[in-house]
Amino acid sequence: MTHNNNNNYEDEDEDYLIDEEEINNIKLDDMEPPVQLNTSFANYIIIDNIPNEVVESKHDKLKAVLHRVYSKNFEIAPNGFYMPLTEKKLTKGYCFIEYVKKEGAIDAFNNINNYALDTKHTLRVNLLDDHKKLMNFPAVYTEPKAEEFVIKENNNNWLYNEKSLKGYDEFVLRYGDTTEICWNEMNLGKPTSEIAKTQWTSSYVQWSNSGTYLVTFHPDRIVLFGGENWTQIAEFKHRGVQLIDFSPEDKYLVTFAPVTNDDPKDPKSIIVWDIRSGKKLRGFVAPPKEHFSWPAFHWSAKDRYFARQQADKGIDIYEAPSCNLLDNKTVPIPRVKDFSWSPSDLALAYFVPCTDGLPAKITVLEVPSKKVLAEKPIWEALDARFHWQNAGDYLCVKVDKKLKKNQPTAPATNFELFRMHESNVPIENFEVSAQVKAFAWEPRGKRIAVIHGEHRHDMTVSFFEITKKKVNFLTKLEHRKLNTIFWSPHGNYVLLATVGDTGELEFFNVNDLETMSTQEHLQCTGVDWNPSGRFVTTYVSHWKVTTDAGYKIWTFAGEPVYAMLKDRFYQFVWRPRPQLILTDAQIGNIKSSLKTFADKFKEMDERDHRAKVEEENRRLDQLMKEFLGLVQRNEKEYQSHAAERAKRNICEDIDQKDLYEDYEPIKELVDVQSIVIKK
Amino acid sequence: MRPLHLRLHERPITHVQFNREGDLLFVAGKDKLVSLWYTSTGERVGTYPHGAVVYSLDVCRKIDIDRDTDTVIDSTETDRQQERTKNTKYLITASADSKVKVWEVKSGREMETLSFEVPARWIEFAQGGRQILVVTDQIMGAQAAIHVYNFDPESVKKLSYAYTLPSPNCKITQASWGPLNKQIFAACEDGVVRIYDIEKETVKNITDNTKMVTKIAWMKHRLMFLTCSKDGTARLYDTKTLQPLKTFDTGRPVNAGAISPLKPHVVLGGGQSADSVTTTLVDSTQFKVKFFHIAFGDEMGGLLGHIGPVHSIAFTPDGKTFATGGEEGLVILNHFDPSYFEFDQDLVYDQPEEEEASTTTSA
Repeated sequence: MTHNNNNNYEDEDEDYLIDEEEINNIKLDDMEPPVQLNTSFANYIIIDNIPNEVVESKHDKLKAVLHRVYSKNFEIAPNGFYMPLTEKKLTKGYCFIEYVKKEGAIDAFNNINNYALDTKHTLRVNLLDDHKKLMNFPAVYTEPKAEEFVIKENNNNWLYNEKSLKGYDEFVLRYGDTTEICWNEMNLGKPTSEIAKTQWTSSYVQWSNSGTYLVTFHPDRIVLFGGENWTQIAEFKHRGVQLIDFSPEDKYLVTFAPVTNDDPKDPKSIIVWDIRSGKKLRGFVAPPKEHFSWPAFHWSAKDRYFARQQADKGIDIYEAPSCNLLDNKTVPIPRVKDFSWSPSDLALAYFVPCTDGLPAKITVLEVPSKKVLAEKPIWEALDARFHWQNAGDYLCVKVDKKLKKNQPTAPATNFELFRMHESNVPIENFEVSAQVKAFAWEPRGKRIAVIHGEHRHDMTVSFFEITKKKVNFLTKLEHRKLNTIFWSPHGNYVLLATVGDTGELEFFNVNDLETMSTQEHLQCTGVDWNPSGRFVTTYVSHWKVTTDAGYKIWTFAGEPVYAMLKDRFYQFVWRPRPQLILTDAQIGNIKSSLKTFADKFKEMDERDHRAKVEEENRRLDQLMKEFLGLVQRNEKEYQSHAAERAKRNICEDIDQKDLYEDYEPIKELVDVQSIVIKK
Repeated sequence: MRPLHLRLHERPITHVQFNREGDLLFVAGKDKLVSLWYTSTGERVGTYPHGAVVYSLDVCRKIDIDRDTDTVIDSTETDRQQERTKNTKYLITASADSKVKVWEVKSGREMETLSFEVPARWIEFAQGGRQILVVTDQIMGAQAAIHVYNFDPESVKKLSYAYTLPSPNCKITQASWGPLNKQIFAACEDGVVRIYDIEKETVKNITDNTKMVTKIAWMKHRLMFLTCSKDGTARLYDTKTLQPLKTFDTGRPVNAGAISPLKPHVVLGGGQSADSVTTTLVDSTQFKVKFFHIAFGDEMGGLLGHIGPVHSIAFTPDGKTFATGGEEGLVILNHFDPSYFEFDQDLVYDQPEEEEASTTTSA
């Protein structure tokens, strides 16, 4: 049997070889083009309801009438009219027509349908291609089945988690192939791991704005994880997806994948999705590479509109969720250079630079009414940067003016301050007498931090406060090597850092105007504040620096809490919390009665802490016990091999008789006394 | 802590090693020298000059002593000292000029030289001292290999070829004898630890590390072993089952490690090599020698002092002293303070039989 099999294989091999040879000799030209049978009946229509049982003598007349009616718009093919007959040569009540082009058939179906031949006969036209479908149409109506309602997990459950309620926060880490989510239970001295998975994402991870979803990236889709057990909540298929952006309230998602030669009829570069239904709302063509920036769309407050600039022509504002242009047209603003939405109101600000005869203009526009709320013309302004305070109370615009001749750099930087929530939106101008490198508003506050200076090793950090009437200068820190400002999410404290360089860190208290601490995190590439404002993390990402990648957690005052170095460490991101829903008055109430709360929580914390420490000690004891058990088991086995070792002359331990005390004899003259002995 | 800075070598240290009794310290360096020091005082005894960079060394831990005459010897102080020097009789070295040399420790006399075609990276006596293994480099078209030679202290020609293990087709950084010389553990550049069973002629692989394995360090009695890797981790394994027990993560390349024979501590050293760090952005904390708890896996502390990556770490057999050798040529000899010995419980190797007895009686 096996012998036969072998033979067979050999035969097959031979055949195979011959085949291959033949194939190699054949050229493409030698081959006939394959015959293709046209099985489609796209050119045909079927006409129902023509007069039934018409005797043969009247056939020609009927044919002529029908031919005339149906060749009105498109030509009927020669011999393209066929009327089937019974054995007695009577009509069957229907006929077929073949058009020269398939457009004829479609036109007949659409336009010459329901033609009233006479009072009794209204002609019905159907495409022959549809015949099968129509034949299979069930005669009896069956009710569609209602799918059973499945209760979905509440994605905000994590906020009710015991640890979450106690004020601990989560963060996500990416290192090597691992993605890990940890709690910063700092009373234990180190973070505790919640979940760790390898190969969770193919590139990086991202939190949604409210912290509800964790987004993972895959070659052909992105996936949203969340809930109590980190299960998959939704997935969005978008081949080659690279960048994503959430709307401010996490209702919508915008994804981007680089697509060359995108089809304008069905664009696949940028897609807007509804997160809860998982449905694609609309695709958009991405602007050419040189104009591309991310996010491609800027979202208004309350997730109502999203907009992008149409180079020089104006701003396209789309309504969500319909994704239609507001009033079906671009908001025409010739030469518009930049725009920005208010973070709290349905309004946007835009900038049009100056021309030879005209001043530049900053305009605040209300949407959807397109009413101008405020406008400020500025002479000679070339560029502007919008800085909104995150509660939308103020808008500060940094304006770059044309340089005069013989002036290498601007001597001062101008700011226009718009008080958005005061009547008539008062606008005022203030100046910082140096080039500004960084600007940041205090979140929900009235203060501004600015870094300015000429040389990166000698910068000045200045603080300003917006008062009722003017902008007050508070204080400045001189001769600093700092380049970035990170306000605590609750204001009052600020971390000033040198990012991407030597990593100097300065923790500053803006209430008391004093430096709380200066620290260093060498080569620090990024900073992330904990949403509570109690901790801040500095990290070195392997994407930018290959040595000593890792992160350090500090308190708001700059005391080191925890540090971790990890090979191939990429990402550290605190899980955001939803926006504060308390009003300023409620926050004030809490602050004033803080003492009564504090005592209660302190007691709770202490009790927790004691339990935690006890548990940790038990765990460590257990670990040590297990370890010693293993050591002793192995040692016992080692001792049992004593004879074998003696045979091989192995003697690892020190011979007891070889032990000796090592000492150095020291002679020291302590004192010399001369005593006279009486004779 | 009483750190003694031994300053003699001007180029990177490749290997530090104590003798079996821990009273002598041998240091090999890239400045073509092997030096010998007294552990207790840090006083230099002598040097063994070589013709090329010395990569590795080992000292013979126990030479055949006729047990009968041993008992006859009258235990006067001088005799004891003589016997001690007998115990550390031979030094073997592997160097970049493709040579393996045998030295007499006491006289500093070169006894024998063996030539290879490629540099020898690592050398180690088998337990009992009757065989040595030599790791040769993977350069100039040669495959990295582990050669085993018989070592006969009695004859004039001490080294005779025994066998060569099959090459793993990648650079071997270190090889070491397993318990009872039944296996050879090889640390390889591709991140794999290959374990050659000599009797069964089989190979087992440990593939947990993602980058080059730089060292294998043994626990006392070879009960467990530690692998150090460029991926920033050191991993502890059970020698018998090869089960991973613990991972120590430093975030920086680990070049060397050692397990304390006395305390439940692991000492790790390393740091970025000089060519991969921009010179302006290095601080001395880079090269900190770190202490980890062997059962908890937590970092406990560290010692500053080196200003270059640490290449070799060794404990004395009593666990009261350890030596580190760095890229900058400095050897630091640390004698622990009394407070260190009170700080953590000792490693208990023997099973506490009394306890067992008491539990059985109570039951």
